[in-house]
Amino acid sequence: MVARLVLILALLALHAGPARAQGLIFGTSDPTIWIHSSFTGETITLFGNVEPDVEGTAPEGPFDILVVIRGPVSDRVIRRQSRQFGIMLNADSSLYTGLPGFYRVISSRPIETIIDPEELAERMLMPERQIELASQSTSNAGDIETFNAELLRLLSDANLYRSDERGITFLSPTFFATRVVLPANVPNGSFLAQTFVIKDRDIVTSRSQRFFVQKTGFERFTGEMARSQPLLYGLATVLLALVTGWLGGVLFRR
Amino acid sequence: MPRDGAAAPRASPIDWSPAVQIYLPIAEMSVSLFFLVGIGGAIGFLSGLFGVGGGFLLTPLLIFSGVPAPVAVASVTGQVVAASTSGALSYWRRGGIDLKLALYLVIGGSFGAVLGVWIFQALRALGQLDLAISLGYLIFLGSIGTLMLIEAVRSLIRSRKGATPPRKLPGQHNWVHGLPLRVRFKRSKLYISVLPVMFIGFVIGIIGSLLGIGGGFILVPALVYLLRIPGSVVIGTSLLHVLAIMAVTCVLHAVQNQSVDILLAFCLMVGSVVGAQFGASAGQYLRGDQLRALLALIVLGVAIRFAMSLFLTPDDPFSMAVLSFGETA
Repeated sequence: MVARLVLILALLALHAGPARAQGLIFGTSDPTIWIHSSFTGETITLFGNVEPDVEGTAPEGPFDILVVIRGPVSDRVIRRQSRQFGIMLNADSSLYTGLPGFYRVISSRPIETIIDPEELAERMLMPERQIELASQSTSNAGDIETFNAELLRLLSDANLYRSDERGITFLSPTFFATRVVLPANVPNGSFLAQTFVIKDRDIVTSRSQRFFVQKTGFERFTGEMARSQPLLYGLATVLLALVTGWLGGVLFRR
Repeated sequence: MPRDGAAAPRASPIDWSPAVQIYLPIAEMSVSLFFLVGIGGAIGFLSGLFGVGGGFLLTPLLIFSGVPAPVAVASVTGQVVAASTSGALSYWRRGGIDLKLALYLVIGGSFGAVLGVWIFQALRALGQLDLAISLGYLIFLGSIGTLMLIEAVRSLIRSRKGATPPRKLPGQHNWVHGLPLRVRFKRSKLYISVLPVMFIGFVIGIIGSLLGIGGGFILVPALVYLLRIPGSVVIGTSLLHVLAIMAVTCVLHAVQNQSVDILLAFCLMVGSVVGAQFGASAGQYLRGDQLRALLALIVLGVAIRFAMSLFLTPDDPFSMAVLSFGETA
């Protein structure tokens, strides 16, 4: 039994061996996206090149590319309103922990044509799977699938989750790029972009790249103050209000 | 709106002026600057016109335009402070404030604000804050709007008939004046118990911190009809009370819920302080009972809008929110 397993693994390794020889260079246009006062979203460009393993040996194409971008995780709840005592109120809810606040699946062709569904499921790359994984508890257990589907819809409506089946541009047989629009409501924090090079429905190689979305200047200062010095922040708001009110009174001589 | 918690990051529905978008650091959304200063100005105009704070209109407007309820309620407190300051100052210069009375009101009000912010947080944890805000607005605005409208229509009919409105002088004493712990309020020329004073402050404090309103439009009638505070000091004192309680509430919201958006508050303040000046001068061209009828209609309008969100089946029964600060589902 064990021997057979070893044999299978060895065969798998042999099979994967030559294909995995491909290298990959992968980068982003901006290591950090800054959120400033007039931030209405930003486009980030991710690009890469499939490199030969031994110098001079050209990589064998054609390739397909799959890019998965995960935003910072947070805990989320989805609630369903229903009529109780004649009024609409939040009745059932479902809790998700560690759910990425941003998710993109970008591929060079429709995803089911370039990779086996089993492989896709195993690597947990699809947004549906992310939601299933993060699902913690539901007030009404029978509804878990409804809640999962509705959460994906809400996240898609908010431009936070999306898949793009023809989002990769090949500039040469090995050099590719993709542009990702980060909407104005993009969560702040660390993003992970994973790129998979796929050949003959097999993942040949992959590479990860981090980038950050951060507030800058006044926005950053304000956000940090509100969290780290809430008392001071509150007092500053009141002081600002008093001064504004007083100035208004003086200027207009009410 | 990840950090402050109760609602999800979402695209603002207000993007008819994409050129001047401003990113609100706490709400974590970008809104049109014109829209913010504009509604601040419009509400300021109404508050100058009617002599009310305007929080009860501003908070709903923000909520209906997509600002998460916790941020709207908490940030409007800052705007109410600014709106009350210039008014309170001018009454102060004219000697129209009973400081001792205001002190007792504020003591009661501070306890009310603490309790209100605590309830606010508890409701948010339960996921029922939006419901509570809608219900609260419906009940308060509905009942007060109806009372105001009845009173204003009666007075309009009376003046149309040409009869002079019978000045019903409030009786010298009622049951309120029989309570213990009496204190002499020199400026109001009253010798009454501090218990009802602090109780009124307490109740307004709860309502104000929960709903993001100053509560002047409830406080003034309460002071006049329950405590017989003379008209010369009632507006000034109530303005000072609203200012102090909203300042306390603003700080409490900042500390407890971290949902005060200083940039949002500032845009609203600027708009409302300017708008109030125009409102005050426009108010001189309208008669008192006409003004009250108009205000009653606006109050009822907001109440109806809340009733619709409570009783009509929504297009989308699902909503999502990011949890933070120990919230549970």
